[in-house]
Amino acid sequence: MSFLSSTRALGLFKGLSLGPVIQVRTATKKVAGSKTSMKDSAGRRLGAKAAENEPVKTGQILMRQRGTRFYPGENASIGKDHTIYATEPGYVRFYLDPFHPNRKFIGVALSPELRLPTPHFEPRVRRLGYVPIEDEAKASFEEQNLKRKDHLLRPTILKELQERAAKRQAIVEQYKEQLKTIVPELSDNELSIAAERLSNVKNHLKNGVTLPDAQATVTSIHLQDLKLQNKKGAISPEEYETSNSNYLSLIKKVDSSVSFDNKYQLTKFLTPEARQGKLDELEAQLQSLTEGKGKDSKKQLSKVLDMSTLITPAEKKLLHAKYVKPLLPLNHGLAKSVTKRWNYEKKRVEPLA
Amino acid sequence: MATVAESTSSVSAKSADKTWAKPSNLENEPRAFKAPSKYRSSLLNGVSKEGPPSLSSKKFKLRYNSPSGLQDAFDVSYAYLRDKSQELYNKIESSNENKTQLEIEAQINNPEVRFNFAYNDKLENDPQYIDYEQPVYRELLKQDWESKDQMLLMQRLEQLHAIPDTLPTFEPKVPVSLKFLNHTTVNRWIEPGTVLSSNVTAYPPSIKIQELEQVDTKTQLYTVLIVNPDVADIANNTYKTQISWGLSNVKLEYNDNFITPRRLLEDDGSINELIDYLPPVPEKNLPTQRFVVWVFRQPAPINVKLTERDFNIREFVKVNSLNAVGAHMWRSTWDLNVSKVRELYGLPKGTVFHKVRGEKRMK
Repeated sequence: MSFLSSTRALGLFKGLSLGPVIQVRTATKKVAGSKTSMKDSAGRRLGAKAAENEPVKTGQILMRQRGTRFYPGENASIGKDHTIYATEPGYVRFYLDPFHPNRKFIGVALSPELRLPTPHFEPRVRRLGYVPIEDEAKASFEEQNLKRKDHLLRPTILKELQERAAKRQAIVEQYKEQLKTIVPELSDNELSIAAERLSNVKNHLKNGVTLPDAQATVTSIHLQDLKLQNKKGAISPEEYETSNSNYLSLIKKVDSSVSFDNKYQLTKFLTPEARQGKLDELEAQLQSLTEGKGKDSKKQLSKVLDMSTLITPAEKKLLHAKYVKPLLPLNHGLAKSVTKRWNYEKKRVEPLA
Repeated sequence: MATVAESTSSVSAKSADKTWAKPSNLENEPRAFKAPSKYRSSLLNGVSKEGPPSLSSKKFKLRYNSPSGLQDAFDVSYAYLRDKSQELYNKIESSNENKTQLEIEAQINNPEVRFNFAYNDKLENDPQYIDYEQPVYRELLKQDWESKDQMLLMQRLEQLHAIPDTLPTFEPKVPVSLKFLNHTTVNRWIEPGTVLSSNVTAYPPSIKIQELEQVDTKTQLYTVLIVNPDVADIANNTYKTQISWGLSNVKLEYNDNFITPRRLLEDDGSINELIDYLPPVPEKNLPTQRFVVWVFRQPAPINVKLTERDFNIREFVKVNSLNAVGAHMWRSTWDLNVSKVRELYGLPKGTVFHKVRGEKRMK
C-alpha cells in the first residue's frame, strides 16, 4: 500500500488507468451440504439365486443383477431389471458360448446329464410339457371350445359351406341329365360317379389347369380315397380291386365321349380336328357377315360370337379383334390426296410417312 | 441341345443380317430364343419410325419422333455385343475351359434372352420362351432366385428351426416350389413357412424341383422327404420326428420337373414311394407343427420301403449318402377340419391336451 501511495510510484504508472480494484475473498470455511452424500442405501440383495446344477421350476429367479453381467441362455429369459429367470423346469447351468465370446450365460438344462450350450448342429432339446386330458367329457368339451373369433364366425362358415354343397349338388344333377343323353349306356351308380368326377374336373379347369392335369388330379384323389377305404376296412380288398378297375374303365369311357364347352356344360366329345373344323365354319360365317355394312352387321357379329359355345374367351377376343373391331392401318380413312399432316411436337406441317 | 460346332458355323453364315450367335442350327431356329414378333423386330433392329411397339395408340405413333442418333447407337451396341459373343464362341471351340460357363457368358447379354426371361413366367415356364435346357436361362434363374426366394427360404428354415431340428445345416442349390393341386380354393404356390388348413393338405402336395446345375438328367435321381419334427412323444415328455411322405428315384428334366398326381399316375414304376402320405393332423392345444420338405440328390437308387412313421432323417441321409439340395416347408395347426381328415384316413381320434403346460421335468 505504502508503495502505491508514494508519489514516485504514481509517477511510474503515469498514463496507465487501473480503474476500481475488485477484491475477491474465496470461501475457506465449509458451511453445509455433506449431509445426504454421507447416506448409503441398504444392499439390493443382488447376485445368483440358484447354483450350478440346482433343480429349478419355471419362472424361478436365477440371478439378480444391475445391467447384464450375465445373459439369459437356453430355457431362460430376462426381466426389465435384468433379472434372469427360468422358462422351463430343469437344472441351472452357468456357461460360455463360443458364438458370443464376451458374454457369460445362465441357462437351464432340461435333464441332469445335459451340458450347455447345446452343440450348434444338434437338434434342440425340447420339453413337451403338455398333458393329455384323461377325462373324456372334459376332453370333448375342450375340443369344441373355440376362440371367440372362430366361435362368432362359425355359423356363417357353416351356412356358406351348405350353400356351396347345394350348388355342387345342383351341378352334379345337371351333369347327370346331360350325361344321360350323351352316354346313355351308363348305369345309375356309374352316372353319379361320372357326374361327380366331371364337376370336380370343372372346378380344376376353372382354376386354369389343363384338362389332362385336371382329370389326373381328380382320378388320383378318387383312387386314393378307395385305397384309404380299403385300408381302414370300409371295403373289402375284392371290392377295392373291382371298384378300382371299374372306375378306371368308366373314366376311360367318359373322358373319350364327353367334352366341356366354354360355359362348362357337357357336350359330345370333340376331337381336336373336329373342333378345328367347327372353328373354321364359325370363321367362314363371321367372314360372310362382315360383308354387310353398318351397325347391324357389327351387332350380328357380336351376337354370333356371344352365342358360340365352342370358342374359349381368348379365341373370342381374337375373333372380336379380327372381325368386329378390326385394327385398321394408320392411313385408313384418309383421302388419297392427304399427304401432309400436322406434327404436334415440331408444330409444323410434315409429309405423311 | 445343339453342339457348339454347329452354332459357330451357322452364325458366320448369317452374320451379315441381324442374327445373334445361336447355340443351334439356323434351319430350325431354336424356339427358346424367340420373343413375340412385335417386340422381336424392335429387339433385333431397333425402334422403328412409328415408335416403340409398346405405343398402341395411332395418335402417339404419328406423333413419335425418334431421338437423333438413336438408331446408330443401337447398331453399334448391338454389333459390339454380338462380336463379343462370337469371340466367346470361338474360344469355346479352341479351348478346353469350362464350356458351360463360356456358353453362359456368350448368351447372357443377348437382348432376346434377357427379354424372354424378364417377360415370361419363370416358374411355370414355357420352353418356347424360357428353355432351362439352355445353361444361360438356368444362370438367369439362379440370379433371380438368389436375389429373393433363396434368402426367404433360408430365413424361414432358420427362424422356424427346421435346421438344426431336422438336418444340421443346408446350402440351397435347387429351387423347390410347392402347390396343393387337389385343392381348388388354395390355388397358388405356397410361400415357405405358411400355416395351411388341414383341409388343404389332406392329399399329397405337388412339388416342383428346378435343377440349376449341369447334371445328367438321364441318370440323376432325386429323393423327396416330408418330415414332421413336432409329433408329441408323451412317454418321454418331448417331441419326435415322423415321416409324412417319401419318394425316391425321381428323375427330373430341366423343363419337366413337376411331381404332380398326373406324373405319379402315369409313372412306369420307376418312382419308389418310400411310405404313403400321412396328412397333417395336429392335436388340439399343441403348438404349430412344421412340415419340412427335403430334396436330395441320390448317388444310387433307393428301393427300400419304410414300415414305421418314426423316422431318423439324419441317419437315413447318412446311410444312403444323400446330398440335400433343396427344401421347403409349411406349418399346420389344429382346426375344425382335422377330425374329417382323421376320419378319411382311418386314424384314431386325436388327443386333446390341456391348454396350460405342466411342470413335469424331462427325464
